Amino acid sequence: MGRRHRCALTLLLALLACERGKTLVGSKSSISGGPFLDARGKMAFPYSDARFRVDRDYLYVTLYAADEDIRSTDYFDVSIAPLSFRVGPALSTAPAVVEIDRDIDGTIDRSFDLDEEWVVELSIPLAMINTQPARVVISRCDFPKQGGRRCGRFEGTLELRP
Amino acid sequence: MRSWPYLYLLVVAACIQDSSRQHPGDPDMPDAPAPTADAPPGVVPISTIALTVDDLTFGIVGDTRPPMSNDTASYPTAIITAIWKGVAAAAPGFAVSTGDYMYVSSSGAEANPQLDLYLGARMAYSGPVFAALGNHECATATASNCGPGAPDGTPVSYQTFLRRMVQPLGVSTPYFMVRVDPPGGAWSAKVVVVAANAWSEDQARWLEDAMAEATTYTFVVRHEPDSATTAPGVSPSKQIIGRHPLTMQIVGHSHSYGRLSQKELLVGNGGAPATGSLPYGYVVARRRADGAIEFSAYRWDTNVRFDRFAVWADGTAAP
Repeated sequence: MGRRHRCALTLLLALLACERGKTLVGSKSSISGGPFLDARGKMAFPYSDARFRVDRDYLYVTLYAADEDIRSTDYFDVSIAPLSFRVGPALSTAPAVVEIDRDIDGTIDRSFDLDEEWVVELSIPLAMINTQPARVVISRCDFPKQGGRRCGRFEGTLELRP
Repeated sequence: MRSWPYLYLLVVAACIQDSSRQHPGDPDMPDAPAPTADAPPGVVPISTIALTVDDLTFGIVGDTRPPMSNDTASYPTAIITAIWKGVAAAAPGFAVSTGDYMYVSSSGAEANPQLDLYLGARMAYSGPVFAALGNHECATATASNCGPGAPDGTPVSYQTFLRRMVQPLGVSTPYFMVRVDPPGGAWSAKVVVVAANAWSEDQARWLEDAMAEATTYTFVVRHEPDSATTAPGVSPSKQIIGRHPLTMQIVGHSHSYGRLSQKELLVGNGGAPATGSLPYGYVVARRRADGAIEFSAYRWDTNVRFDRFAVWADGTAAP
Protein backbone atom coordinates (compact mmCIF):
# COMPACT_ATOMS: atom_id res chain seq x y z
CA MET A 1 0.00 0.00 0.00
CA GLY A 2 1.39 3.39 -1.00
CA ARG A 3 2.13 6.24 1.35
CA ARG A 4 -0.64 8.39 -0.06
CA HIS A 5 -3.09 5.56 0.31
CA ARG A 6 -1.99 4.96 3.91
CA CYS A 7 -2.46 8.61 4.70
CA ALA A 8 -5.88 8.60 3.16
CA LEU A 9 -6.81 5.72 5.41
CA THR A 10 -5.46 7.24 8.54
CA LEU A 11 -8.11 6.82 11.14
CA LEU A 12 -8.82 8.58 14.32
CA LEU A 13 -10.57 6.86 17.11
CA ALA A 14 -12.39 9.18 19.41
CA LEU A 15 -13.96 7.71 22.49
CA LEU A 16 -15.98 9.83 24.81
CA ALA A 17 -16.12 8.42 28.30
CA CYS A 18 -19.53 9.75 29.14
CA GLU A 19 -19.58 9.46 32.90
CA ARG A 20 -16.42 11.45 33.32
CA GLY A 21 -16.89 13.77 30.40
CA LYS A 22 -13.40 12.95 29.31
CA THR A 23 -12.44 12.67 25.69
CA LEU A 24 -9.85 10.12 24.68
CA VAL A 25 -8.47 10.47 21.21
CA GLY A 26 -6.21 7.87 19.68
CA SER A 27 -4.32 7.80 16.43
CA LYS A 28 -4.04 4.88 14.10
CA SER A 29 -1.59 2.94 16.17
CA SER A 30 -2.45 3.98 19.68
CA ILE A 31 -4.72 2.39 22.20
CA SER A 32 -7.62 4.15 23.83
CA GLY A 33 -10.18 2.97 26.28
CA GLY A 34 -10.22 2.30 29.96
CA PRO A 35 -11.81 0.61 32.93
CA PHE A 36 -15.50 -0.05 33.35
CA LEU A 37 -17.43 2.09 35.79
CA ASP A 38 -20.26 1.11 38.08
CA ALA A 39 -23.63 2.85 38.38
CA ARG A 40 -22.11 5.47 40.69
CA GLY A 41 -19.40 6.33 38.21
CA LYS A 42 -16.68 4.59 40.21
CA MET A 43 -14.39 1.82 39.04
CA ALA A 44 -16.39 -1.37 38.78
CA PHE A 45 -15.63 -4.44 40.87
CA PRO A 46 -14.74 -6.95 39.58
CA TYR A 47 -12.50 -5.03 37.24
CA SER A 48 -13.18 -4.90 33.52
CA ASP A 49 -11.39 -2.98 30.85
CA ALA A 50 -11.90 -2.17 27.16
CA ARG A 51 -9.15 -1.07 24.76
CA PHE A 52 -9.54 -0.01 21.14
CA ARG A 53 -7.15 0.15 18.25
CA VAL A 54 -7.66 0.59 14.54
CA ASP A 55 -5.71 -0.12 11.39
CA ARG A 56 -6.53 -0.01 7.72
CA ASP A 57 -9.13 -2.77 7.82
CA TYR A 58 -10.09 -3.56 11.35
CA LEU A 59 -11.19 -2.19 14.66
CA TYR A 60 -9.50 -4.21 17.39
CA VAL A 61 -11.25 -4.39 20.73
CA THR A 62 -9.55 -6.02 23.70
CA LEU A 63 -11.86 -6.82 26.57
CA TYR A 64 -10.36 -7.76 29.92
CA ALA A 65 -12.30 -9.39 32.75
CA ALA A 66 -10.83 -10.03 36.18
CA ASP A 67 -12.78 -13.01 37.40
CA GLU A 68 -12.32 -15.28 40.40
CA ASP A 69 -14.85 -17.78 39.08
CA ILE A 70 -14.85 -18.07 35.30
CA ARG A 71 -18.08 -19.56 33.99
CA SER A 72 -18.96 -20.71 30.51
CA THR A 73 -21.97 -18.42 30.73
CA ASP A 74 -19.90 -15.27 31.40
CA TYR A 75 -19.95 -12.61 28.71
CA PHE A 76 -19.53 -9.01 27.69
CA ASP A 77 -22.47 -7.29 26.06
CA VAL A 78 -20.91 -5.46 23.12
CA SER A 79 -22.73 -2.76 21.24
CA ILE A 80 -20.81 -0.85 18.59
CA ALA A 81 -23.51 0.52 16.39
CA PRO A 82 -24.89 -1.09 14.38
CA LEU A 83 -23.33 -4.28 15.81
CA SER A 84 -24.62 -5.86 18.97
CA PHE A 85 -23.51 -9.20 20.33
CA ARG A 86 -22.26 -11.12 23.34
CA VAL A 87 -18.83 -12.63 23.75
CA GLY A 88 -17.27 -14.49 26.63
CA PRO A 89 -14.64 -17.07 27.51
CA ALA A 90 -16.76 -19.78 25.93
CA LEU A 91 -19.67 -18.22 24.09
CA SER A 92 -20.16 -15.78 21.24
CA THR A 93 -23.07 -14.40 19.31
CA ALA A 94 -20.83 -12.18 17.20
CA PRO A 95 -21.15 -12.25 13.40
CA ALA A 96 -18.86 -14.80 11.80
CA VAL A 97 -16.71 -12.09 10.25
CA VAL A 98 -15.67 -10.92 13.70
CA GLU A 99 -12.52 -12.79 14.61
CA ILE A 100 -12.18 -13.71 18.26
CA ASP A 101 -9.07 -14.66 20.22
CA ARG A 102 -9.32 -15.71 23.83
CA ASP A 103 -6.85 -15.95 26.68
CA ILE A 104 -8.12 -17.59 29.84
CA ASP A 105 -6.13 -17.77 33.06
CA GLY A 106 -8.13 -20.06 35.24
CA THR A 107 -10.56 -22.92 34.89
CA ILE A 108 -14.03 -22.73 33.42
CA ASP A 109 -16.98 -23.90 35.53
CA ARG A 110 -14.89 -25.02 38.50
CA SER A 111 -16.22 -22.82 41.26
CA PHE A 112 -14.19 -24.50 44.00
CA ASP A 113 -10.93 -22.96 42.80
CA LEU A 114 -9.87 -19.37 42.29
CA ASP A 115 -9.41 -17.99 38.80
CA GLU A 116 -7.58 -14.89 37.70
CA GLU A 117 -8.85 -13.40 34.45
CA TRP A 118 -10.01 -13.86 30.89
CA VAL A 119 -9.45 -11.70 27.85
CA VAL A 120 -11.16 -11.65 24.48
CA GLU A 121 -9.70 -9.83 21.49
CA LEU A 122 -12.09 -8.91 18.73
CA SER A 123 -11.08 -8.03 15.19
CA ILE A 124 -14.04 -6.27 13.66
CA PRO A 125 -13.95 -5.36 9.95
CA LEU A 126 -14.35 -1.63 9.64
CA ALA A 127 -16.87 -2.24 6.91
CA MET A 128 -19.19 -3.56 9.60
CA ILE A 129 -19.20 -0.21 11.38
CA ASN A 130 -20.99 2.03 8.96
CA THR A 131 -22.62 4.44 11.36
CA GLN A 132 -20.67 7.59 12.16
CA PRO A 133 -20.17 8.40 14.90
CA ALA A 134 -20.86 4.99 16.37
CA ARG A 135 -22.17 4.69 19.89
CA VAL A 136 -20.14 2.20 21.96
CA VAL A 137 -21.57 0.51 25.02
CA ILE A 138 -19.86 -2.51 26.51
CA SER A 139 -21.05 -3.97 29.77
CA ARG A 140 -20.39 -6.96 31.97
CA CYS A 141 -22.07 -8.40 35.04
CA ASP A 142 -20.51 -10.97 37.31
CA PHE A 143 -21.35 -12.93 40.43
CA PRO A 144 -18.38 -12.73 42.82
CA LYS A 145 -17.97 -15.37 45.47
CA GLN A 146 -18.75 -12.80 48.15
CA GLY A 147 -22.25 -12.77 46.72
CA GLY A 148 -24.43 -10.42 44.74
CA ARG A 149 -24.44 -9.34 41.13
CA ARG A 150 -21.88 -6.70 40.21
CA CYS A 151 -22.01 -4.81 36.93
CA GLY A 152 -19.89 -2.29 35.10
CA ARG A 153 -19.91 -0.64 31.70
CA PHE A 154 -17.86 1.36 29.29
CA GLU A 155 -19.57 3.96 27.15
CA GLY A 156 -18.22 6.08 24.37
CA THR A 157 -18.52 7.32 20.85
CA LEU A 158 -16.45 5.95 18.04
CA GLU A 159 -15.60 8.27 15.21
CA LEU A 160 -13.57 7.04 12.27
CA ARG A 161 -12.16 9.87 10.16
CA PRO A 162 -10.60 9.39 6.76
CA MET B 1 6.77 7.82 57.66
CA ARG B 2 7.44 6.09 60.92
CA SER B 3 10.76 4.65 61.90
CA TRP B 4 11.29 0.97 62.27
CA PRO B 5 11.18 0.58 66.03
CA TYR B 6 10.94 -3.12 66.51
CA LEU B 7 13.73 -4.44 64.43
CA TYR B 8 16.94 -4.96 66.25
CA LEU B 9 18.98 -6.84 63.81
CA LEU B 10 18.80 -8.26 60.39
CA VAL B 11 21.31 -10.96 59.86
CA VAL B 12 21.39 -12.02 56.30
CA ALA B 13 22.97 -15.14 55.01
CA ALA B 14 23.12 -16.83 58.35
CA CYS B 15 22.40 -20.25 57.12
CA ILE B 16 23.45 -22.15 54.11
CA GLN B 17 21.79 -25.17 52.64
CA ASP B 18 23.43 -27.72 54.84
CA SER B 19 25.22 -30.62 53.22
CA SER B 20 24.67 -32.60 56.42
CA ARG B 21 20.98 -32.68 55.51
CA GLN B 22 21.50 -35.06 52.71
CA HIS B 23 18.85 -37.57 52.05
CA PRO B 24 20.54 -40.95 52.34
CA GLY B 25 19.91 -43.16 49.44
CA ASP B 26 19.07 -40.33 47.10
CA PRO B 27 21.44 -40.80 44.19
CA ASP B 28 20.76 -37.31 42.93
CA MET B 29 21.91 -35.68 46.13
CA PRO B 30 25.59 -34.85 45.91
CA ASP B 31 27.93 -34.78 48.86
CA ALA B 32 28.31 -31.05 48.71
CA PRO B 33 25.52 -28.59 48.06
CA ALA B 34 25.05 -28.30 44.35
CA PRO B 35 24.59 -24.94 42.78
CA THR B 36 20.88 -24.42 42.43
CA ALA B 37 19.13 -23.28 39.33
CA ASP B 38 19.53 -19.73 40.51
CA ALA B 39 23.08 -19.74 41.76
CA PRO B 40 26.03 -19.80 39.41
CA PRO B 41 28.39 -22.77 39.58
CA GLY B 42 30.63 -22.61 42.60
CA VAL B 43 28.29 -20.40 44.56
CA VAL B 44 26.64 -22.02 47.53
CA PRO B 45 22.94 -21.15 47.56
CA ILE B 46 21.82 -19.12 50.52
CA SER B 47 18.26 -19.60 51.55
CA THR B 48 17.78 -18.50 55.13
CA ILE B 49 17.48 -15.06 56.67
CA ALA B 50 17.59 -14.45 60.41
CA LEU B 51 15.59 -11.62 61.90
CA THR B 52 15.35 -10.45 65.50
CA VAL B 53 12.30 -8.43 66.52
CA ASP B 54 10.66 -7.36 69.76
CA ASP B 55 7.16 -8.22 68.63
CA LEU B 56 5.89 -10.45 65.89
CA THR B 57 4.06 -8.00 63.65
CA PHE B 58 4.18 -8.12 59.88
CA GLY B 59 2.47 -6.60 56.91
CA ILE B 60 1.03 -8.62 54.02
CA VAL B 61 0.58 -7.21 50.51
CA GLY B 62 -0.26 -9.08 47.36
CA ASP B 63 -0.75 -8.86 43.62
CA THR B 64 0.06 -5.51 42.06
CA ARG B 65 0.11 -5.25 38.30
CA PRO B 66 -1.64 -3.67 35.34
CA PRO B 67 -4.51 -5.47 33.62
CA MET B 68 -2.77 -5.84 30.26
CA SER B 69 0.67 -7.03 29.28
CA ASN B 70 3.24 -4.21 29.00
CA ASP B 71 0.57 -1.70 30.04
CA THR B 72 2.91 0.19 32.34
CA ALA B 73 0.83 3.34 31.97
CA SER B 74 -1.98 1.57 33.81
CA TYR B 75 0.20 0.34 36.66
CA PRO B 76 -1.78 0.83 39.92
CA THR B 77 0.84 3.14 41.37
CA ALA B 78 -1.55 5.24 43.45
CA ILE B 79 -3.09 2.17 45.06
CA ILE B 80 0.16 0.43 45.91
CA THR B 81 1.69 3.66 47.18
CA ALA B 82 -1.22 4.13 49.58
CA ILE B 83 -1.02 0.49 50.61
CA TRP B 84 2.64 0.67 51.55
CA LYS B 85 2.05 3.91 53.44
CA GLY B 86 -0.66 2.09 55.38
CA VAL B 87 1.69 -0.77 56.11
CA ALA B 88 4.37 1.66 57.25
CA ALA B 89 1.91 3.34 59.60
CA ALA B 90 1.33 0.00 61.31
CA ALA B 91 5.09 -0.19 61.93
CA PRO B 92 5.56 -3.93 61.42
CA GLY B 93 8.96 -5.49 61.89
CA PHE B 94 8.84 -6.86 58.36
CA ALA B 95 6.44 -7.49 55.52
CA VAL B 96 5.73 -10.22 53.02
CA SER B 97 4.32 -9.95 49.53
CA THR B 98 2.51 -12.73 47.75
CA GLY B 99 3.70 -12.26 44.16
CA ASP B 100 2.76 -10.71 40.81
CA TYR B 101 4.41 -7.32 40.68
CA MET B 102 4.44 -6.96 36.90
CA TYR B 103 2.68 -8.00 33.72
CA VAL B 104 5.13 -8.00 30.84
CA SER B 105 5.61 -9.82 27.58
CA SER B 106 8.36 -12.33 26.98
CA SER B 107 10.74 -9.61 25.80
CA GLY B 108 10.63 -8.25 29.32
CA ALA B 109 11.25 -4.70 28.20
CA GLU B 110 8.70 -3.37 30.67
CA ALA B 111 9.89 -5.44 33.63
CA ASN B 112 12.20 -2.79 35.03
CA PRO B 113 9.80 0.11 34.46
CA GLN B 114 7.04 -1.75 36.27
CA LEU B 115 9.29 -2.76 39.15
CA ASP B 116 10.48 0.84 39.30
CA LEU B 117 6.91 1.82 40.06
CA TYR B 118 6.38 -0.99 42.54
CA LEU B 119 9.61 -0.51 44.42
CA GLY B 120 9.15 3.24 44.35
CA ALA B 121 5.82 2.77 46.12
CA ARG B 122 7.34 0.24 48.49
CA MET B 123 9.91 2.77 49.66
CA ALA B 124 7.19 4.20 51.91
CA TYR B 125 7.98 1.27 54.18
CA SER B 126 11.59 1.03 55.32
CA GLY B 127 11.57 -2.47 56.83
CA PRO B 128 12.56 -5.68 55.06
CA VAL B 129 10.07 -7.14 52.61
CA PHE B 130 10.18 -10.81 51.73
CA ALA B 131 8.73 -11.25 48.27
CA ALA B 132 7.25 -14.42 46.87
CA LEU B 133 7.49 -15.24 43.18
CA GLY B 134 4.26 -14.99 41.20
CA ASN B 135 3.41 -16.57 37.87
CA HIS B 136 3.81 -13.14 36.27
CA GLU B 137 7.45 -13.10 37.35
CA CYS B 138 7.82 -16.36 35.42
CA ALA B 139 6.18 -16.76 32.01
CA THR B 140 2.77 -15.29 32.94
CA ALA B 141 0.73 -18.48 32.75
CA THR B 142 -0.18 -20.07 36.05
CA ALA B 143 1.28 -23.33 34.76
CA SER B 144 4.66 -21.82 33.93
CA ASN B 145 7.82 -23.03 35.65
CA CYS B 146 11.05 -21.04 35.67
CA GLY B 147 14.69 -21.53 36.48
CA PRO B 148 17.60 -22.95 34.50
CA GLY B 149 16.56 -26.35 33.22
CA ALA B 150 12.88 -25.67 33.83
CA PRO B 151 10.48 -25.59 30.88
CA ASP B 152 10.22 -21.79 30.84
CA GLY B 153 13.87 -21.10 31.57
CA THR B 154 14.87 -17.74 32.97
CA PRO B 155 12.88 -15.04 31.19
CA VAL B 156 13.69 -11.38 31.79
CA SER B 157 10.77 -11.07 34.20
CA TYR B 158 12.21 -13.84 36.36
CA GLN B 159 15.74 -12.51 36.26
CA THR B 160 14.57 -9.00 37.05
CA PHE B 161 12.49 -10.16 39.99
CA LEU B 162 15.41 -12.10 41.46
CA ARG B 163 17.87 -9.28 40.92
CA ARG B 164 15.73 -6.52 42.37
CA MET B 165 13.51 -8.17 44.95
CA VAL B 166 15.27 -11.29 46.22
CA GLN B 167 19.01 -10.98 45.89
CA PRO B 168 19.12 -7.67 47.82
CA LEU B 169 17.93 -9.70 50.80
CA GLY B 170 21.08 -11.79 50.54
CA VAL B 171 19.41 -14.93 49.29
CA SER B 172 20.03 -16.51 45.95
CA THR B 173 16.93 -18.58 45.32
CA PRO B 174 13.27 -17.56 44.88
CA TYR B 175 12.47 -19.86 47.78
CA PHE B 176 13.85 -19.08 51.20
CA MET B 177 13.10 -19.06 54.89
CA VAL B 178 13.04 -16.17 57.32
CA ARG B 179 13.71 -17.21 60.89
CA VAL B 180 12.20 -14.67 63.30
CA ASP B 181 13.06 -14.56 67.01
CA PRO B 182 12.66 -12.09 69.85
CA PRO B 183 15.71 -11.13 71.92
CA GLY B 184 14.61 -13.22 74.91
CA GLY B 185 13.55 -16.28 72.95
CA ALA B 186 10.03 -16.35 74.39
CA TRP B 187 8.71 -17.57 71.08
CA SER B 188 10.03 -18.33 67.61
CA ALA B 189 8.65 -18.09 64.12
CA LYS B 190 9.57 -18.95 60.59
CA VAL B 191 8.29 -17.53 57.34
CA VAL B 192 8.73 -20.07 54.56
CA VAL B 193 8.56 -18.49 51.11
CA VAL B 194 7.70 -21.06 48.44
CA ALA B 195 8.16 -20.49 44.70
CA ALA B 196 5.50 -22.63 43.06
CA ASN B 197 6.43 -21.28 39.61
CA ALA B 198 10.08 -22.24 40.05
CA TRP B 199 9.48 -25.69 41.38
CA SER B 200 12.31 -28.23 41.39
CA GLU B 201 13.53 -31.24 43.28
CA ASP B 202 16.02 -28.95 45.01
CA GLN B 203 13.19 -26.81 46.28
CA ALA B 204 11.22 -29.84 47.41
CA ARG B 205 14.15 -31.07 49.50
CA TRP B 206 14.73 -27.60 50.88
CA LEU B 207 11.07 -27.18 51.78
CA GLU B 208 11.00 -30.47 53.66
CA ASP B 209 13.99 -29.35 55.73
CA ALA B 210 12.69 -25.82 56.23
CA MET B 211 9.28 -26.99 57.43
CA ALA B 212 10.93 -29.47 59.80
CA GLU B 213 12.66 -26.68 61.72
CA ALA B 214 10.79 -26.42 64.99
CA THR B 215 9.30 -23.01 65.75
CA THR B 216 6.33 -21.74 67.72
CA TYR B 217 4.75 -20.22 64.62
CA THR B 218 5.03 -21.24 60.98
CA PHE B 219 3.84 -19.02 58.14
CA VAL B 220 4.07 -20.19 54.56
CA VAL B 221 3.97 -17.57 51.79
CA ARG B 222 3.23 -18.86 48.31
CA HIS B 223 1.68 -17.07 45.34
CA GLU B 224 -0.93 -19.61 44.31
CA PRO B 225 -3.51 -21.01 46.70
CA ASP B 226 -3.97 -24.74 47.17
CA SER B 227 -6.79 -24.71 44.63
CA ALA B 228 -4.57 -23.43 41.79
CA THR B 229 -3.28 -26.87 41.01
CA THR B 230 -1.99 -26.03 37.55
CA ALA B 231 0.95 -24.19 39.10
CA PRO B 232 3.74 -26.77 39.11
CA GLY B 233 4.69 -26.39 42.74
CA VAL B 234 1.29 -26.16 44.36
CA SER B 235 0.39 -29.81 44.79
CA PRO B 236 3.87 -31.06 45.72
CA SER B 237 4.45 -28.23 48.19
CA LYS B 238 1.00 -28.76 49.66
CA GLN B 239 1.94 -32.36 50.38
CA ILE B 240 5.14 -31.33 52.13
CA ILE B 241 3.53 -28.49 54.08
CA GLY B 242 0.77 -30.84 55.20
CA ARG B 243 3.27 -33.03 57.00
CA HIS B 244 4.35 -30.23 59.34
CA PRO B 245 2.86 -27.76 61.83
CA LEU B 246 1.38 -24.67 60.20
CA THR B 247 -0.02 -21.48 61.64
CA MET B 248 -1.17 -19.89 58.38
CA GLN B 249 -0.50 -20.21 54.67
CA ILE B 250 -0.61 -16.80 53.01
CA VAL B 251 -1.34 -16.71 49.28
CA GLY B 252 -2.27 -14.35 46.47
CA HIS B 253 -2.97 -14.97 42.76
CA SER B 254 -6.66 -14.22 42.90
CA HIS B 255 -7.00 -10.46 43.16
CA SER B 256 -9.09 -10.33 46.26
CA TYR B 257 -9.01 -10.92 49.98
CA GLY B 258 -10.48 -13.83 51.86
CA ARG B 259 -10.12 -16.67 54.29
CA LEU B 260 -9.95 -19.61 51.93
CA SER B 261 -9.80 -22.14 54.75
CA GLN B 262 -8.86 -22.25 58.42
CA LYS B 263 -5.17 -22.18 57.51
CA GLU B 264 -5.15 -20.37 54.17
CA LEU B 265 -5.44 -16.60 53.84
CA LEU B 266 -5.77 -14.88 50.48
CA VAL B 267 -4.16 -11.45 50.21
CA GLY B 268 -4.17 -10.62 46.52
CA ASN B 269 -5.86 -7.23 46.63
CA GLY B 270 -2.76 -5.09 46.18
CA GLY B 271 -3.93 -3.19 43.12
CA ALA B 272 -4.07 -5.84 40.40
CA PRO B 273 -7.46 -5.89 38.63
CA ALA B 274 -9.96 -6.89 41.30
CA THR B 275 -11.47 -10.32 40.70
CA GLY B 276 -14.08 -9.99 43.40
CA SER B 277 -16.09 -7.30 45.12
CA LEU B 278 -13.81 -6.58 48.08
CA PRO B 279 -11.66 -3.44 48.23
CA TYR B 280 -7.96 -3.13 47.55
CA GLY B 281 -5.90 -3.17 50.70
CA TYR B 282 -3.43 -4.95 52.92
CA VAL B 283 -3.26 -7.09 56.03
CA VAL B 284 -1.33 -6.69 59.25
CA ALA B 285 -0.62 -9.79 61.35
CA ARG B 286 0.17 -9.18 65.01
CA ARG B 287 1.06 -11.50 67.86
CA ARG B 288 -1.18 -10.75 70.82
CA ALA B 289 -0.25 -10.98 74.47
CA ASP B 290 -2.11 -14.29 74.72
CA GLY B 291 0.04 -15.74 71.96
CA ALA B 292 -2.60 -15.76 69.26
CA ILE B 293 -1.89 -14.20 65.88
CA GLU B 294 -4.45 -11.59 64.90
CA PHE B 295 -4.93 -10.76 61.21
CA SER B 296 -6.49 -7.41 60.36
CA ALA B 297 -7.43 -6.44 56.81
CA TYR B 298 -7.50 -2.75 55.89
CA ARG B 299 -8.78 -0.73 52.97
CA TRP B 300 -6.14 1.00 50.86
CA ASP B 301 -7.88 4.36 50.68
CA THR B 302 -9.15 4.95 54.22
CA ASN B 303 -7.08 2.46 56.23
CA VAL B 304 -10.35 1.35 57.81
CA ARG B 305 -10.29 -2.26 58.97
CA PHE B 306 -12.81 -4.44 57.15
CA ASP B 307 -11.96 -7.87 58.54
CA ARG B 308 -10.32 -9.31 61.62
CA PHE B 309 -9.71 -12.80 62.91
CA ALA B 310 -7.20 -14.64 65.06
CA VAL B 311 -5.59 -18.05 65.23
CA TRP B 312 -3.46 -19.90 67.72
CA ALA B 313 0.01 -21.08 66.81
CA ASP B 314 -1.37 -24.39 65.52
CA GLY B 315 -3.74 -22.57 63.17
CA THR B 316 -6.93 -23.26 65.08
CA ALA B 317 -9.36 -20.42 65.61
CA ALA B 318 -8.76 -18.05 68.51
CA PRO B 319 -11.36 -15.66 69.93
